[in-house]
Amino acid sequence: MINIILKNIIRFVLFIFIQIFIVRHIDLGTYFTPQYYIIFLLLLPFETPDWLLIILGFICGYTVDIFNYTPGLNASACVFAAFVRPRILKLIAPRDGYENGMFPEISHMGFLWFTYYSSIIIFLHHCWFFTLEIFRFTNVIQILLKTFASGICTLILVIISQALAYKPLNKR
Amino acid sequence: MRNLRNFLIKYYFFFLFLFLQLISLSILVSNNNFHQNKFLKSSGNITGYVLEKKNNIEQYFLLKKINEDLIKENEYLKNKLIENYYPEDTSLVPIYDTLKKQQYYYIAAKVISNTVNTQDNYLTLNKGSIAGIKPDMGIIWNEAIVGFIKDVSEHYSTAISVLNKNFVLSVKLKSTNDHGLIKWEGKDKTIVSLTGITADVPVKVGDTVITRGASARFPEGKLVGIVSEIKQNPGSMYHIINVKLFTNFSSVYNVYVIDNRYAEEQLKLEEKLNSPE
Repeated sequence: MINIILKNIIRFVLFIFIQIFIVRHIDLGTYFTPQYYIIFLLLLPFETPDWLLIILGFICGYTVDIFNYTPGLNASACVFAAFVRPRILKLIAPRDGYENGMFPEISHMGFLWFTYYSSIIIFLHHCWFFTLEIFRFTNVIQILLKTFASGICTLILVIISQALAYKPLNKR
Repeated sequence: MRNLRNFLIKYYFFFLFLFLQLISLSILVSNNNFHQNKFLKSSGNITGYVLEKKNNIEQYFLLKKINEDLIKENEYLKNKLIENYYPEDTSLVPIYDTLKKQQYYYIAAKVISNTVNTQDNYLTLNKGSIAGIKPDMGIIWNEAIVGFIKDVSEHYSTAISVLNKNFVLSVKLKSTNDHGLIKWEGKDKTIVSLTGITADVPVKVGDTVITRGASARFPEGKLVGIVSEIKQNPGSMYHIINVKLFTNFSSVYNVYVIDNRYAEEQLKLEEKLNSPE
């Protein structure tokens, strides 16, 4: 238990550090702005209570906001992502439900399941994010383009970082 | 009462969601009002400190580029020195001129953090109120405009960059002196749109656009960009002009903050026009 908490605190710092100091400076034009830090919410254990999840989402988004000069924008999108996560998990649960000791990671759940799961949450998060960001332009095409372009970037980054940390499980 | 409690417990997740959403959205909305910004903590000391440390590391990789920029700027400034000019008329003797008083003072600062990819881009500078920086001062980089100061703390300040919806500046064409407004459309970080130039003005692709000196933030003649595209809207009195910015926002580093000593006087006078008597 303590292990899991410690692991997630380290992840929180690490992912936000990567977002602020590396990913934000990837410069592929205005349409590609990956929001990589969302991986923190994706990787939280299945058993995380709902209230904790949503509060962690808020803290995570707000921390990025402070460094990104976007007051409330990331916080709002993250709270939304944390809100939909339990529902998405229920929707795409395997037939026997989630076993104890499983984590939503590639090494536990397989590549296909993870891609499916993270792409849904990433696209919902990005859609909310860019709708709020571009709000005043009432430019739907731009919102959709940005959502898809940045969403794909984020997804690729998330999968790469999962693949780097891939540890095959010892099947009993 | 018990029913209400049960209802709240049953749907607590949804209410928590609404509550946190409300907090973040109210932060978002209240900070769009860009003069009462309490949020931008980048000028706060902790984030400023972290950003500066990160910047110290980053700058080692850019030293060559920064040196080249500074050399270019030195070259430009050296060419303006008075001793480089040969006196044509020998009857004139230089005298200390008390008729002129310096209006614009420049404060050197470094950009320790900036964004280019969001709809509202900001910069963080490593100088603050102790160095004499105040809100609303303009910022230039190699004689080209960068933005203006928004908030200051003791050692840091945040600034609105040209690539921000809240940035509007009065500019003019160098060749004809016709003036218009520039504004960023939020798409390309090198292009701003110039409006207000009437269709009868002979504007060409490649014309230089400079500041007009109308706002108290920038003196006249600071570089803005080059006309890159002219579109004619049928039936409209105005050209639709795209201007390619001189400033490369991904690599701004050594900048100067412009302290206009007469800004207050100008603004106070202009305020009288707007306030009904």
